[in-house]
Amino acid sequence: MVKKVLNIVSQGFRAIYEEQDDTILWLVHAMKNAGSDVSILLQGSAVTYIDTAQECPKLTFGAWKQSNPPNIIHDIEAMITKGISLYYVENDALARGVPAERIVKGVKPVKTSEVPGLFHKFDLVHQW
Amino acid sequence: MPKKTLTFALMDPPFENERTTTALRLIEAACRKGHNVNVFAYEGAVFMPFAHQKQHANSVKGTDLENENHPLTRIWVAELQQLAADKGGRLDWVNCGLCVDERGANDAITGIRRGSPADLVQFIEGSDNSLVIATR
Repeated sequence: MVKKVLNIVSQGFRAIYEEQDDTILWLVHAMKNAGSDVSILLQGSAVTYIDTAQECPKLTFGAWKQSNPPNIIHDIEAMITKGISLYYVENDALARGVPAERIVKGVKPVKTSEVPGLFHKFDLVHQW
Repeated sequence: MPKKTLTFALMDPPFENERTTTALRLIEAACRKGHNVNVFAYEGAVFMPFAHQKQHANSVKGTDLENENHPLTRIWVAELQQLAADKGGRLDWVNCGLCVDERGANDAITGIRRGSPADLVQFIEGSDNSLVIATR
């Protein structure tokens, strides 16, 4: 039986313009495709990844124009469709002015005080 | 607006945080206004103009090489060199030689110079202002 792994992402918007995605969300998605039982907890500034009000305009440098900018909301929704459970620390979202109604549907809120209990549902916790 | 000379000291490698993109956007803004820009790339930043960076497809997103059109910082740096020239300024980019040797990052795109802390001193002394965007 495969191990259940909770992956914690704490920093949002890390290199997403260069990578055109978040590298840890990408890695977890790839691990799911490879047969792992993975879930994600977004905390800290990473909770802004699930704010549907976000927008990533295309970068330009000189004559170079980005044709495929990051679309984190799309990536999150694709992970939910794939069966990856996503959680977010709701206190961190509220502290950053992201109300519950703007959160991507299907991402489950947990209170800070509930995070240790969430850990107990998993065999491993990876803090990225 | 009178032409200025600005020096940027960069430390972060590409593809690992937002500081690289932010730094290059600031440099782009300066180049676009025709200012002269010096860059001293230290530590991992020497990989920004690394000539062997390659695009790749993205199997997770299901995009092929063309549709993914993955950004490469060597292309961004080359664009900034061209932009500076087009606007009547210059972009003088120096990679720290020891940092290059440690990392095997010898092959940089055309126009990148190998240098030392003495170049940073020269840059600072000849600039109107300087900005350090350091690793955190």
